[in-house]
Amino acid sequence: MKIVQLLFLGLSLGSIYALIALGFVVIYKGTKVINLAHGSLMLLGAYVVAVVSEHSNFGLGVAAGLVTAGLGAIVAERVVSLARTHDHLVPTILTIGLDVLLAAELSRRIGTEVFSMGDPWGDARVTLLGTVLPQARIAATIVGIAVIAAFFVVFRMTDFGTRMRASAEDAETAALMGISQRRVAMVSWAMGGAMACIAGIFLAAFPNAGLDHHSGIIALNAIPAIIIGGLDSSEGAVLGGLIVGITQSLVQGYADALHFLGGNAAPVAPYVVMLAVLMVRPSGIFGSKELARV
Amino acid sequence: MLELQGATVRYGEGAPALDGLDLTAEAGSITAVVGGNGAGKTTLMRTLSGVLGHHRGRLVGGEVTFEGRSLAGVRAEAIVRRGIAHIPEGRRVFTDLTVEENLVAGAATRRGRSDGQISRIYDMFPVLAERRRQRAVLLSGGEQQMLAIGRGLMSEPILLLLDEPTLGLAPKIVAQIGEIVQHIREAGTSVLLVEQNAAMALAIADQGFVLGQGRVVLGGSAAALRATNEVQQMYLGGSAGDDEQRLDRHDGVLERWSA
Ligand SMILES: Nc1ncnc2c1ncn2[C@@H]1O[C@H](COP(=O)(O)OP(=O)(O)OP(=O)(O)O)[C@@H](O)[C@H]1O
Ligand SMILES: [Mg+2]
Repeated sequence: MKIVQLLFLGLSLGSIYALIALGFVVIYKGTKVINLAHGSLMLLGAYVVAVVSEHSNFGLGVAAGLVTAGLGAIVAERVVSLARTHDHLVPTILTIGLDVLLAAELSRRIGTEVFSMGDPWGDARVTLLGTVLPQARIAATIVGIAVIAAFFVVFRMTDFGTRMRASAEDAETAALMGISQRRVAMVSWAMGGAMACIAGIFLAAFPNAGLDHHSGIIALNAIPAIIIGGLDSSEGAVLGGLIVGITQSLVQGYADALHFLGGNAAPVAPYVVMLAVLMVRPSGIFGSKELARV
Repeated sequence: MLELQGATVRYGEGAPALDGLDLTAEAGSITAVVGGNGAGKTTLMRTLSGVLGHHRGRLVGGEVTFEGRSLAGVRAEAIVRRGIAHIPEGRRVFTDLTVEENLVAGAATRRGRSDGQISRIYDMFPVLAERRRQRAVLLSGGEQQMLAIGRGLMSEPILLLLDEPTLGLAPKIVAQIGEIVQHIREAGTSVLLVEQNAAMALAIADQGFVLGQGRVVLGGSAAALRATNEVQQMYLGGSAGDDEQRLDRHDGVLERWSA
């Protein structure tokens, strides 16, 4: 049952992308900045997980990685907000600068090494519905769904989440209600950073080889995901992530049949889907119309 | 309790939107601020609530004090904590949020649970209670204005700033809002009421100010203002005329006063 296996692998890859995409969107909604340093933050988190788990254990490594990525994101937000401008393009461009800096420093430290995450799943496989699947990918699916569910519970059902949504819709009026824009910014970036770290762990885990200095690039797969879903929609980020994951998995799995497209269609396929969606819905599946006009 | 002395505000490099404004509001009273389009009414409100920065505006001169402490450079959240709530022009309810979530958003500076205050708001505005689970975007203009007022009252302010609450609403709703404002004052909250509907504002206010080009051109008790020829002609008198005509007349009077 190849198709079942591919769909499941796509779902697990998709939930990892969904975490990255959701982080992008949370940051965008909270501060209207497109964080192009997201891949480096993900790499930073995963790198700390790898280093700390090597010297202690995986649990401690994850805790350290989450804290580092969260704090790193807060620092990044503080840095880009130093640009005293109302043009959101300026901080967005500043994130490119941060990305270059952070990526350069991390590649210097990582060098040519490939780090293992020290995760408990290793290269174990399990048989599910007659197909063989890596345990790490099953864990990725469960963790991804759990984190995303927790996110929606917080955002939809708590007073705190209500205030975050209020600020995302209208920052000035939210300020008039006593909602601190600075705190909203800090929390959104910290959440985005932490979610990227979790995604980074699973992207480096089996069946991938481990963490190397290129791993941050994989975060770019979240870009078609957020465009497909709509830049300002959390639901869209999740749906977009799943679409990208499943598309890549299917195109990869049927690479032989799709040989006429050239050997390496899987990385490109999500962009084709993205273009198709944009032709029908210029602001993405769930995106608000106003964004398309900007 | 509120005092502005020579307050001067600029947006970017343009001409000052407030140009040496002097104004006071007394505790326990309703203070009306009337004036034509572009007179600086909204700018006055933004200055008091600390959101000029959202519009690239700055207080460049003068003093603004509330209960004896300066408001200059104070963050919006801190001003809410000091007891000022600003209900902005155009209502600005959070359209993605439900009615009740809007009230929760208004309670950001409260400690502990806000259920008690929410039910007080529902007692005051039963129509909001009926629609508590509906998204605010589905409310009518009048209902949105009630929600905006209720949301502003969630912080239990000492001073409520209301910017044109009757704009675009039917006469029946305008009267209702007048009653609500009086009720709020009776419940112990002072009100600074900005209106183009001077008839309504001066009917319920204790004192009032007429603004023109960023300055106070006339101020005094509401009764005295209602009686002046100028206010009669400009805002209360005979044929209503269209807005443009009203504005022209206003500018004419303005020159005479500021000369
Ligand atoms: N965000 C802004 N940027 C630049 N200039 C502004 C801004 N807001 C207001 N102004 C200018 O400041 C002056 C006062 O405007 P303000 O909005 O305070 O008037 P208003 O009395 O509230 O008018 P209205 O009755 O139309 O609401 C006007 O000349 C206006 O053009
Ligand atoms: Mg105004």
